[in-house]
Amino acid sequence: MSVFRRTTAGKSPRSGAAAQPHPDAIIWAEGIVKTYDTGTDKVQALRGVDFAVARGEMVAVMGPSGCGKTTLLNSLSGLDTVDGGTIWLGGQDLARLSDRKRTDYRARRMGFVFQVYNLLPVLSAVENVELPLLVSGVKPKEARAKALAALATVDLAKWAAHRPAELSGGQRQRVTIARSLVNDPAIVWADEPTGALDSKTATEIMDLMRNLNQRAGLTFVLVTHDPGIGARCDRIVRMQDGVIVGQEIPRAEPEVVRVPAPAPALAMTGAD
Amino acid sequence: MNEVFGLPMSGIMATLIALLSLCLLSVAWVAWRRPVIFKLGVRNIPRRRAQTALIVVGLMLSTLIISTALGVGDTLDYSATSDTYRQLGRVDAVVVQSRSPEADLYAALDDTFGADALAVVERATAGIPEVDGLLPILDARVPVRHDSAGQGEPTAILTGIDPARLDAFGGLRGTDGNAVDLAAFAVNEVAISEEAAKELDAAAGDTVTAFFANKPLPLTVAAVVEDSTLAGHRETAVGLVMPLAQMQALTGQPDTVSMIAVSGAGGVRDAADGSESAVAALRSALAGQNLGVDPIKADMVEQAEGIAALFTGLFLVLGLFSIAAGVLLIVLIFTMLAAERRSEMGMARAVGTQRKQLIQQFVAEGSGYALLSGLVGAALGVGAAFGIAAGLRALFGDFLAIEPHVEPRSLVVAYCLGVVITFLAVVGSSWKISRLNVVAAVRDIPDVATGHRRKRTLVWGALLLGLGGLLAIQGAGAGVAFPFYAGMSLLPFGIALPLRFFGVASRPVFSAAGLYLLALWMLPQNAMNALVGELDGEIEMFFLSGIFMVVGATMVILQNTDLLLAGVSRLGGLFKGSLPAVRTAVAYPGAARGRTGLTIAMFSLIVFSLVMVATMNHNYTALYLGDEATAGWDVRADASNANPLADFRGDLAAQGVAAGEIAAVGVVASPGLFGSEVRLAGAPDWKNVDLRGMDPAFLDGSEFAFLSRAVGYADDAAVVAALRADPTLAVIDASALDGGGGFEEGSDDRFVLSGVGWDDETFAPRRVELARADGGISAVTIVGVIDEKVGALAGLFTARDTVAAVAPDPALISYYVRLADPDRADAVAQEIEAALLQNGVEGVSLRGEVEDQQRQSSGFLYLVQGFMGLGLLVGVAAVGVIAFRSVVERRQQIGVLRAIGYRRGLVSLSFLIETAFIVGMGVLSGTILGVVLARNLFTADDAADGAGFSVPWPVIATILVATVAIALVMTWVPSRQAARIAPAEALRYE
Repeated sequence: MSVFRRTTAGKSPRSGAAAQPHPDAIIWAEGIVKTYDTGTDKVQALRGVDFAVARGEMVAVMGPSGCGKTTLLNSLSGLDTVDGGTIWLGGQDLARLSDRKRTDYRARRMGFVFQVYNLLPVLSAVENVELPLLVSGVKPKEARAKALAALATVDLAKWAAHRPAELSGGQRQRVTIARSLVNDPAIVWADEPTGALDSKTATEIMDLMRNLNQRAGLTFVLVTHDPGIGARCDRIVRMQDGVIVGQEIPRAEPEVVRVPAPAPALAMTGAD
Repeated sequence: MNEVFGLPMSGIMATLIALLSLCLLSVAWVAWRRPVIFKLGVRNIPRRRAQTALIVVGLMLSTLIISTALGVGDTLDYSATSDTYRQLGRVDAVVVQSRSPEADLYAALDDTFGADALAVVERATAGIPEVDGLLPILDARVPVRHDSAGQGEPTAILTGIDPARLDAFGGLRGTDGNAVDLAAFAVNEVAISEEAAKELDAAAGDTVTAFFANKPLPLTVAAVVEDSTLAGHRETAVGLVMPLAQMQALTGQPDTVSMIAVSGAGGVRDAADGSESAVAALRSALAGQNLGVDPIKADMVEQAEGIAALFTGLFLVLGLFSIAAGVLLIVLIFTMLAAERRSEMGMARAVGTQRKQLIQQFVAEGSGYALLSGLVGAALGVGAAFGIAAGLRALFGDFLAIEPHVEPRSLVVAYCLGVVITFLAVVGSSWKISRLNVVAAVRDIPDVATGHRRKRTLVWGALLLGLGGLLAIQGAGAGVAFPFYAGMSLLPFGIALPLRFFGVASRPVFSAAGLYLLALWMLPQNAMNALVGELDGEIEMFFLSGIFMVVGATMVILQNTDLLLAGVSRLGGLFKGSLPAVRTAVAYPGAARGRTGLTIAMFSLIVFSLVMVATMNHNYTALYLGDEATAGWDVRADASNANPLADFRGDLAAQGVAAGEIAAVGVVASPGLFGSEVRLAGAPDWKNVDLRGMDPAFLDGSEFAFLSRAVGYADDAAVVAALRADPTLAVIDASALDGGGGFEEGSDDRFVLSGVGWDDETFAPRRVELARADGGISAVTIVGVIDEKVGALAGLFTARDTVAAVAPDPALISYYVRLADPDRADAVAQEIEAALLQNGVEGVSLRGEVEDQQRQSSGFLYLVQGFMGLGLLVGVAAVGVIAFRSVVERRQQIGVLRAIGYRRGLVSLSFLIETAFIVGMGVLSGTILGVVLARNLFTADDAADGAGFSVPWPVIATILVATVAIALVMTWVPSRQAARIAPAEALRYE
């Protein structure tokens, strides 16, 4: 049973009073606009995007380079601000949160996985992993125990004391994944998580994330170019030129609970 | 200023211009032959303006320090010589009564001789074309009172000059610039010097009263004239001038003169240049006439230049720490620039760029920075020199009119030297950073060691071992500290490098080497003396010790950073909220050891030098302000021979002054105001020393302390008992020892008690001959050297009767007074002076005098500290460069931190903690090293025997807090910038 429908052109989801998010949605975004001003040009990276993700869903955002995938991820996760539209994250209006509260929310409820790992090179694996916990105010001993457990989850317990430079690309990405899940997040954002890996390692990493998604119920939003990765997600959202141009549900993976699209319009497309 | 370290400035300038030209030619060659490489280098300069500004600040430090030091020298030189020229005018030399043709004006100041000597001198100068004028002068030291204004001066020079001969000397000029016709003066009319007018509050038409031979001389002020020798103005006295004949008549000294001034052909300044041959000819012509010539202007100019050169040398040596720190900063800056461009450089090498072309590229860029920063440094150096000049004026303005002045030549020297130092540091850094592994650079991963490098390590080890051994042996053999300690300090590196070659871990090897260096330099002086004997060393040892101690401490810190950081991290755990910031802050310094080490070393060097000077200043000030300083006396009242006192206590009692307050009075007679002629028995030349004749009361009442005693005297009391019993025995103050002369050190006239060292507890009694006024010779035997701590007792002290035989009519009688209440010293001194003004008595509080001297000395050292504090700019620039670079380098990591929940404040705090750790380590090590070395040096000084060593914590705390605070402020700007980066933007950054 799919709850997703394509919105018809010209029917803006932003007309009228702001709609409330669906109770099952962990992310509920309407009419997201993001413009970059380069000084000489203005580039509209997102042109009125509506987007929703259900708790426990694993969604892949795909599209050609420069279509706005990473911008969408950054905007939804609160790493970047938007110029228009509303984003509800875990039932909270992101625009109403101060930078401080948004940061705290990220620390407690989100995990991030990046293409180039983005581990701190001067810290060991376990120190990298425990950092979000320390930020959240967890006691150092408890943080260390949880970090080691997270590393064990990604099968890197033996590498806990090693620095990133001493680890392979796949191992580094596992550390990043361990860091993203150590604070028991509601959602993990992954920007090209396998982009820097060979196909075998990429498959391993995808297996790991899918496993965490299915067994622990972690919500994942992935940005990827890799059709193979997309095919293993619950849903693929396709973007082009700052708008969502389509979505599909791969057949390979079992369906999870679906979320109704933001009212009055349904997700998946930009306004233009 | 014409000389620095004995080298002529013109020669230094020519050499440096040649060196700078070589540097610039090499860059010009690159620009001509490799224009693309040159452009690649220089185009980097305007790319990041804030960074370029910081680099220019960092690179200008050497030029700034050198320019400041030379500027201070120029200022002192110019001020002192200007003062000399202004005072002496066209008086180039003076002829005075003297047994030796080489006369000393000050030794003969109170002597008079027959005016017929003028004819003798005229005949002698007839054949000397360089002499164009002679002027007979009669001086008398008198007190002066201006009753209607209620002002008085205990010491003034009433001088008489011959108006008929005045034209050759430029005449007298009024303060309004008009000529004053002295010949037209009526009887009892005088012109007074500008300073006298000020002190006496007198003007033309007023009547002042001088006292001569206890008789009042009412004098009418006919004019106020410029301060000059002709107007009677001296360094320590105001002047009044009248026609010679009237002066002779008024003082009852017909046909008598004190000196004959000689004017050389030429102007005020250039006549002195040609006076040497004229003086020699005149001395030769006057041989056997009991007259001597003192080339007073040339001597004073030479002395001024000597003092200026001494100060310049001192400032340059002390500035070496800042220059060394500046060189480290240059290396740091270029290392960081190279790190920034590592991938770029790797790719350039990969596509065929030669290593030397990378060097050329960096050198081209560095030369641009160096040329620019040299200009800024030289200009700021002028500002700093003017600032120091203002400080000197505040301290010494009473003695010398300080006029800020910087010679263009000094600026050229500072600019060239600063740019050449910077250029060499840039070339060295470029050579180092060009040695990159192409693959590692392209992939931006750490370099790997190669076998080739390891062999070089072994070669370096052998070289250092050999060089260190040779230097140590040579130094120990010659008894010279510099090569010995330099050699001993190189040895551990000669051992450590081979150990590393053979695979021994870095931490134990370099930690041990660092600890060895610290032990070598921090071992108490006595212990080192016991091991290797006494070695000779001067101020250069201060620099050497600082460099090696800082190197040792930095090595120990760097090799054990993880332990220190773990401690900081645990400390951070106490503040739960800031723990994440601490965690990231302490991680970076350990990961970038080279950068961390350079920064720690820079701060350590600067703080070490500041703390060391501050601690020594503090302890020596306390030492010389101790109870011993006044020798048990409270007030000294000096009476000149012009108006002798019949009965000091009785005269005071008659005036109702200090009655019942005086506990004791001792009397000291001095034959000359500016010393007397003495010489060691057997020595050919007469020298100058302050000869003092003590009466028994002074001997009994003085609290002597001796630095060393003649053999046979068990203790200080034995020396005093011997002085009491034998009038041919004497004691002398420690400034007579070799090296104790201060600014007079090296002067030909200074008496030196050679053969007695500062560390000698005993010495063989030394026989000294005293030149008697009647032409004969008396002799005394020195049996004690008075401790420096007893600042009130300066000169050669013997029995008053002995001095009376030398000079029956002493120029000065000093009454030393002990008061029942020492706290009343200042008040009683003033009361005595007021009561005995007509006798020209000057009263001084001895403690106040000692404190004034110490205040000047300390004030000067504070100025030196301020100058050395310029080095802090190095640290500040370093912190700024590192912080700005760190923000750029870690931009993506900052994005990650923000993504995982670091608040802005936490990111900022992380940078601040990182800076605080690095700067704190440098400051801590510099402080410990400075205090320990100061303690070793102070306690090793015999003068400090029994004195407690103390640390000036408030001063040190101020230095430390200011250093850390400035560093944090410098980090705060980029850390805020880092914190404000939008996480998404930071994550995009590559």
